[in-house]
Parts: sequence; structure tokens; C-alpha cells
Amino acid sequence: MKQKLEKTMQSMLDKNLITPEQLQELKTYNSLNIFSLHNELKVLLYLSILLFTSGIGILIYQNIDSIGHTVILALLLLVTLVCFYISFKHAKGFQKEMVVFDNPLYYHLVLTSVLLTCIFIGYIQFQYQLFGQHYGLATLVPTSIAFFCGYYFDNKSVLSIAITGLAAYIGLTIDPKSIVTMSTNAFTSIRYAAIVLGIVLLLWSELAAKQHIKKHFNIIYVTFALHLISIACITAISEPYWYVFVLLLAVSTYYFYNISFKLQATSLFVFTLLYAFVGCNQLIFKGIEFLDISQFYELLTFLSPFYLVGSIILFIKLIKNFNKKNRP
Amino acid sequence: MIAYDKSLLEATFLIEETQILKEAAFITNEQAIAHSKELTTLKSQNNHFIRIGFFILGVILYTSICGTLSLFMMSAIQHYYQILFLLFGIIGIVGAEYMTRALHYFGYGLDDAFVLGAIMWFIVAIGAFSNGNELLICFVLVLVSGITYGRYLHAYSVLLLYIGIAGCVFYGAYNLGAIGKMIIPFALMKTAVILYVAAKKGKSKITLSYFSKGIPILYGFSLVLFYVAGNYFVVRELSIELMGTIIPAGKDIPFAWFFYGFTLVIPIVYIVFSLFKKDRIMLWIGLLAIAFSIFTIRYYYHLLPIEIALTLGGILLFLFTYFAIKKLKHNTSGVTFQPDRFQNQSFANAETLLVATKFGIHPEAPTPENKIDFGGGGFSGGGSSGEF
Repeated sequence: MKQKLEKTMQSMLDKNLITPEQLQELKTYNSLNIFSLHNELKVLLYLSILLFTSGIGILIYQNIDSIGHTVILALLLLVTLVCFYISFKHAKGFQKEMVVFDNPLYYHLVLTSVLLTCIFIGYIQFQYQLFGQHYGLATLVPTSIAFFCGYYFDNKSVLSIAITGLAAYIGLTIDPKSIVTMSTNAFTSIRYAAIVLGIVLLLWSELAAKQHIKKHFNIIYVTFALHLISIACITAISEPYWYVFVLLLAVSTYYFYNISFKLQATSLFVFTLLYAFVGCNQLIFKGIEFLDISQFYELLTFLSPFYLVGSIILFIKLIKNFNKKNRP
Repeated sequence: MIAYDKSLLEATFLIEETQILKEAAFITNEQAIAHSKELTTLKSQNNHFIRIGFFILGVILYTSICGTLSLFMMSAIQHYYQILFLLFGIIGIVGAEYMTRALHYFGYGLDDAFVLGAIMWFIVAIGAFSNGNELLICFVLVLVSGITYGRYLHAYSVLLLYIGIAGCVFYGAYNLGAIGKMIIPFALMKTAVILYVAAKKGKSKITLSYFSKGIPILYGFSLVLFYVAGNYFVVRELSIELMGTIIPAGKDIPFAWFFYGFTLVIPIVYIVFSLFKKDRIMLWIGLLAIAFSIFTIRYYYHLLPIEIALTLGGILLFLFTYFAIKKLKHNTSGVTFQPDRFQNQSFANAETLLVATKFGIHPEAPTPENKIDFGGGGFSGGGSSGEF
């Protein structure tokens, strides 16, 4: 691979496209023989946190009778505070732009601190009913702590926890796993709440973009909003007022289509197209049902490849357009 | 043999290399554009999201064509339904040929669907014709995937080729009788070694040819096959499953000591060796192999209760990583913690999703089930905050 790249660069040099210094730079870099364990060690770090928190969780659960709640809570609080103390000591403070810790270890420490806080508050609520019957409050407190930490330490992972917390407050499970597995029954009763939350997230991201507050967080907000709104609309097809949701899906598709260009996010773009395609198909099925031409199923089967070829050509055109705008 | 126009293919690889150089910031964006401006290339899809999307679309298209066809053909060939499978395979090849030669697709997603579909239908057809003769199926898999790789150069064809070869060896030894069954692990290990050596030799010979991308896959899967063939868990469970061996209590499979030693030693050998050789594929396979070895040992010997093992493992792993980072942080050459300019850092975004999946706060729902579930809540960290 290295020789290949040097060869490519040499050919570019022959065409006078680059300077000899650039080729020299590549050669020097290759001679360093770098073998970076950056990603590998980060994965191991994540894994260690995962193992540790899981182990501690089970340990506490099993020994709840013998250790006593106060001791466990005190220990939890102590560890949490130590984690927070170290995090704050090394933090560079809140800034509107992107801030990175000097050592990525602290990024994970912040994450651990927030997770421990969540466990602590959950525990204290379970055992002593700190917030009494105000379950919402018990969700909101860790959520606001997570929001604060996400912004203060510039931590995307913590921010996404905070957003799931916000959704939990209105009674939704929106972690990515449940989105992928399409646990749609959660949406039937609280569809409106999901849509409103999605819109709120979008409004906030627009505001943040205008005020230049942590603009790199916007993609997370928009991603959550996209899935919330689109899935809520798509699952509404069996409702009596389904056409309202179809309209909403069309509007939101238009918005997300544009915003994915703006954020240059391919994942957003692809999912927007996917949801639009699903919605479109639902509309077609509704149409077939309405016109009652389902007895001509042979004709429909015969036509389906042509419909698919047509939609594939459309997709290719859209993606070409997207690539052209983003990659000059 | 290759279905693509050679000059287009060469230009495609050249652009790919230019892109790598640009992302590693050795050349500027303008230089990359200037270099790639006058080149016409094949249409590949570098973005995996879009490629998977097109793959799904391609699968839908392929199945709908097959569905339409079977609708009209079903009445004509009622008793020889196997012919239909063969026909589907031919449709896949025709589609793949059209896409590569006329539309110049190379790894666009749509062509992947047709190539993979064609391979699958040929296998199904052979299975149906031969009443499920495994050796024949594996042999045809080797043949078909070999041809598709030679023609379309898709990396996954190498993977299928590899599976086919391993399958041939496995079923070949399996059909040999009692002694053949005994030597299956060793035969597979030997196959892995042979293919590994072949990949190593081939690497030095065809670095610049079109087939160079298949080499790392061949090489990586040789490592996987070598480890898996000698893993104690795999050997024991497969010999119970496939050969009906009954292992009485207190007794063990033949050569148990060898397989135990193998399970423990090979991952460490992989990792140490990979660090010396600066070999990322081997490093990852070594890490995964360690995890599988731990699982293997724990499956038969419950050395520690799970919660203690998790906690201790977490602490040890953390300490290990912490010191490794500390030690490697300032290295500017060789093994280091500093990011490689040629490695993309898109991993960070995947992390965010992972965390939200694992630790996301779930809605509070004061139902009886959730009360019992509290332990589960603690287990997944933040989950507990929602479940009272």
C-alpha cells in the first residue's frame, strides 16, 4: 500500500501537480513506520468501562441485603464525586466551539461520571423515594445533569444520553437499538409527543446554529429528530387521520433533505430517502386498496420491477446530486 | 477474465489512492481535484450507508424479477422446479454483466446484490439437484465464487471462496470415515496454513495488480480458520453435534490437552506477533480470539462468579489500557497511541450511538415488571434511573 501511494504521488509529481516537498513528506512519514493503536486502545477503554459498570451493577444487586443501602450509596457517591472532581480539574471550561481534552481518557471519565450519577439517582429514588411519586422529576434531574456535562465537557456521548433522558421524560424509549428494531407499539399512544420532541430538538439545533453554540452537536439533534418524526409518521398509516401524517412526513422529508446537504451528513440523507420511500410505498398501497384493483395482482407483480427500476434511477440521481454538492 | 475496462479500472484505483492521500492531508483538495479531473472511472460507491441502501434496493429488484418470472413459469415447469433456481442464477449473472459492462458499476450496491444473488441461487440449485450433497455444494461454491471474483473483483467473493475451500476440506475429511473425522481439526489447520502461506507469497507478487485487495481477506480468514479449527469449544461441541460422540463425565475429547493449550496460546501469539510485524488484521483477530478463549474457558470452568469476573476484568483492562496509553502517548514512530494519518477517525461517531444504545435513559413506567427488573437496570448503567 505504501509503495503504491508513493508511486501515485510520484506520477502526480511527474505531471507537476504537486511539489517535491510533498512527496518527501510522504516518504518521511512512511519511514516512521507508524503503527497506531489509537482506535484499538479506545475500544478497550470503552470495554473496560462497560465491564466494570456491569459487574458493579450485578454485585450491588446481589448484595443489597448484606451490605446495606447506606454503605452502597455512600460508596457510589464517593466514586462519582471523585470522577467528577478529576474531570473538572482537567476540563478547559465551557466554550462555544469544540473543546477536546488533552487526553481522551478524560472524555471517558466524564461518561463514567454521568453514568454513575444516573445509577445513584435511580438507586436513591428506588430505595428512599427521594422524589416521592414525581417520577418525571427523577428522570429530569439526571437528564439535566447530563445536558450540563455534555455541554460543559463537550461530550457527544453524554449529550445523547441526555436526549434519551428527555424522551424518557415524555415516556418514550428512543435509544438507537429500539429505533432499529422498530418497537413501534411505543409510538401508538405517544406519537404526538414524539413529533413535538422532534420539532423542539430541531428548533434548538437551528437556534444553536444561529448563535454558534456547539455547532458540532447539531448532527446528533437532527439525527434523533429525523428518526422520531419519521417513524412516528410512518407508523401512523393505520390511524384515521393518516393523511395528516403523510403531509407531515412530506414536509419533514423536505426539511431533512435540505439540512443533510447543509450538514453534509450522508447518514441523514440516506435515512431521509429511506423514510420517504417507505412513506411513498405506503401511499401506493393505500391507493391500491382505495381503487380496489388488488385482484389484478398479476399485473401488479409484472409492473413491480419497472417501478423499482424507476425508483432506483431516481435514487441514483439524488445521490449523484448530493455527492456533487458535497464533493467538488 | 475481468469484466471491466482495464483503463477505467486502473483510473478507479488511482482515484482511490488520491482520495486516501487527500484524507491523510498529504496533498490538498485542489491537487486531488486536478489529478482526478481528466480521469473517467468506474462508478463505485465509497459510502457504506449508500452502498447498503442500494444493495437492499438491488435485492428487492432481483426478487421482484424472479417473482414475476416464477409467476409465469410455474405452470410450465411444475415438476422440475430446480430449473427455476438455475434460471434465477442466470438472471443474476445477466444482471451483473449488464451492470458492470454497460453501466460500469463496481461495488455500487446494485451489482453486489446481483452477484451475491447469483452465487446464492447457483448453490441452491445444486443443493436441489443433488439432494443436499454438502461436498458438491462446497465445490460449486468454490467454483462460482472463484469465477465471480476473477470477473467482478468483489472482496466478498474471496470470503465465499474461502468458506467453500474450508467446507470442501471439512466434508472431504468427514466422508472418509472414523479416522477422517478425527483429523478434521488438523486438516483445517493445515488448510489455513497453506492458504496463509499462499496469501503471503501472492502479496509480494501481485501488489500492483487488480487482485491485491483480496489478499488481506484471504490472509485474515486463514488466521481465523486456524484459530477456530483448534479452539477447544469448537472442537468439542462440533464433535458432539456432528459425529454423535458421547463424552462421559470425567473423560475428555482426544488430544484435549493440545486443544486447551492451543486455545490459550494462539491469541497471545497473534497479538505479540502482530505488534512486532505491525499487522492490524492480525491484531484485531488476536483481540477477538482472546475474548473467545475467555468464553471457552468460562464455558467449562466457572472459575469466578460472573459479577466478580466482570468487575475485576474491567479494572484490569482499564489499568492495562491506561498504562499502555501513557507509555505510547509520546512515541512518534513505530507502535504509538497517536492517530495514524491514514486511519479514519469516524469511529468516534459510532461510539456515540453505542453509548446511547447501551446506557440510554428509558422511560419511567411504574409497572410491577419494572420493579423486579431493577437489577437489570443497574446492569445497563443509566437504565436504572428510569426504572423504579
